[in-house]
Amino acid sequence: MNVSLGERIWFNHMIASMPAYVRVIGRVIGEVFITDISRKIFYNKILDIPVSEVNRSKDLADAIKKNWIEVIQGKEYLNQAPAYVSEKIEVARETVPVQSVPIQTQVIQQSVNLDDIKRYIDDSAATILEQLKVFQSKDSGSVDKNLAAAIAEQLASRLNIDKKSVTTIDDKPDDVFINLDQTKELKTNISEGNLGTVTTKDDKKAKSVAKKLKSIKGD
Amino acid sequence: MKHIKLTKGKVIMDKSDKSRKNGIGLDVGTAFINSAIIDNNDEVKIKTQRDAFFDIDNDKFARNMLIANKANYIESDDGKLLYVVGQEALNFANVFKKEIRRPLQKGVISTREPEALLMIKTIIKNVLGKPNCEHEICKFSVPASPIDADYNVIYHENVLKSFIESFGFKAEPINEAKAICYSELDDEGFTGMTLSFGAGMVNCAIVYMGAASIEFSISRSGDWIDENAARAIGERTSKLIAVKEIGVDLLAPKDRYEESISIFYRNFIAYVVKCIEKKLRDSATVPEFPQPIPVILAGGTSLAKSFDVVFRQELEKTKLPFAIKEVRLANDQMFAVARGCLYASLSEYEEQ
Repeated sequence: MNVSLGERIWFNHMIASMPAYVRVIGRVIGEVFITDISRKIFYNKILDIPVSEVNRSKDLADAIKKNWIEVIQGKEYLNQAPAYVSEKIEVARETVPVQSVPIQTQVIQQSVNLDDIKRYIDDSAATILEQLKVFQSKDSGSVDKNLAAAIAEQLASRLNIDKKSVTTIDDKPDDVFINLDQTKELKTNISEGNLGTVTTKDDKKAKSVAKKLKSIKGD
Repeated sequence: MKHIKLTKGKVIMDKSDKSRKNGIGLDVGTAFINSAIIDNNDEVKIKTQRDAFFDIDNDKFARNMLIANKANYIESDDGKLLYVVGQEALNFANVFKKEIRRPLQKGVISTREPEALLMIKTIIKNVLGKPNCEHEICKFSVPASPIDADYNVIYHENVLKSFIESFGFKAEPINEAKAICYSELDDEGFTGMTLSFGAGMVNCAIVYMGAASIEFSISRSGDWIDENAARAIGERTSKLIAVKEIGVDLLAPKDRYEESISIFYRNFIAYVVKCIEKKLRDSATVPEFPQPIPVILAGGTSLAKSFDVVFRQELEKTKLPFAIKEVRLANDQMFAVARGCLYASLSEYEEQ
């Protein structure tokens, strides 16, 4: 008999011979602790609870009512359960409830962290953009710079990437940190002060221009 | 008077050099770094250094070759390369059929060259020489912020200032185009529109009585012409620079090199004039000049023959918010900025 993964088939004769269970699944991220029957129901994990326990647990009923857990099989037993009133309500829960989605989808999702996926996509896209910018910065005739720029723009807009995560290679002086070590100098064969071609020209107006500038204080 | 030498943060006074007056001008351009001093006989001395380098592997053979050719070189920080600087860099680039590299790009310190800072420092130090007196004033040129590109010049200005001051000078920045006003417009009361056509950018200032009301730059100039003219005919940029510097008449190109240069020159001039028109149209600080004003063209890129003619042609197509008296080339196109910086420095030592 072919039985697909995660699927259980309940045969009638087996059901008749087995104790009755209620099958539940966790619907909040983390876990729900049903205090009065000491059971933990994890997010997206299926748990079979004997009907006897279900019927005596007020906390379970409360959790079901608040949609922290969902009954996926054996609802009829819940209806038969006697009314139960508890004075203590100690149901532990964590964080945000998730929307109801088909069970199989949720089983797949439970092993993957969505934040990790988003981070991965962002990082990958940023890396691609960096590569494109490097491409753009190269003086290569084989690269269509406009096309590269258009792809980069499209990619950035579709993935809605925060601009801060994208490194650009640019000529902006304030974009680049360069360590300004004033005492450091490169070795050279240039004798000090002896660089450049000297042109000498008569300049009789220098003094008068300097005087005029002094008087107008234009600088 | 004594010289100052800065070693490890301490100022050491050397013997005096009384042969020149106090005050020095420095034009830090993308293609050239020029310093200007004036001696006691009223002779201006301008020291020019090409702001370019070419790297070769640092080995004994290369070193001996450079020494034999009296080429200036600077060693890379890790000692693996020798950077040939100055005119020799261009010569080497043409011999080896490679491109020259520049520590400055588009008028500011290049972020593409990792050792640009130390190289500029070495070049400036050796072009400036020693200060003539304690805290001698050095006015150095800086570009204005570009209107057609998204970068500022603050970092560039501050780095240069700190370097120059580390050599014992008192460094004071001055706008490049405004410096041209000082050197070229003294007869017009320092009033007019000045344009500095450098290699990396064009700087423009509208000046009234020595005070600039509008200063801006355009991030396209000689390098843009060279690169595009070279690409258009499948040549190296270094080759086109060499052709351009021999002399090109924009109205009468002789071969395909000159033709390509001429085409991109015209396109460039039209672009500059359009940028000026747009800037002036959008600006609220355009002065109302009582008389038509002169337009002065300076800088290495303006050296091409008929440059002023083509500029005038383009200017006539536009409408500016003031009348133009004339469009003329600066008396000293290459060194107008350095001279302006020098005059501004000298004025600090003038008595009222």
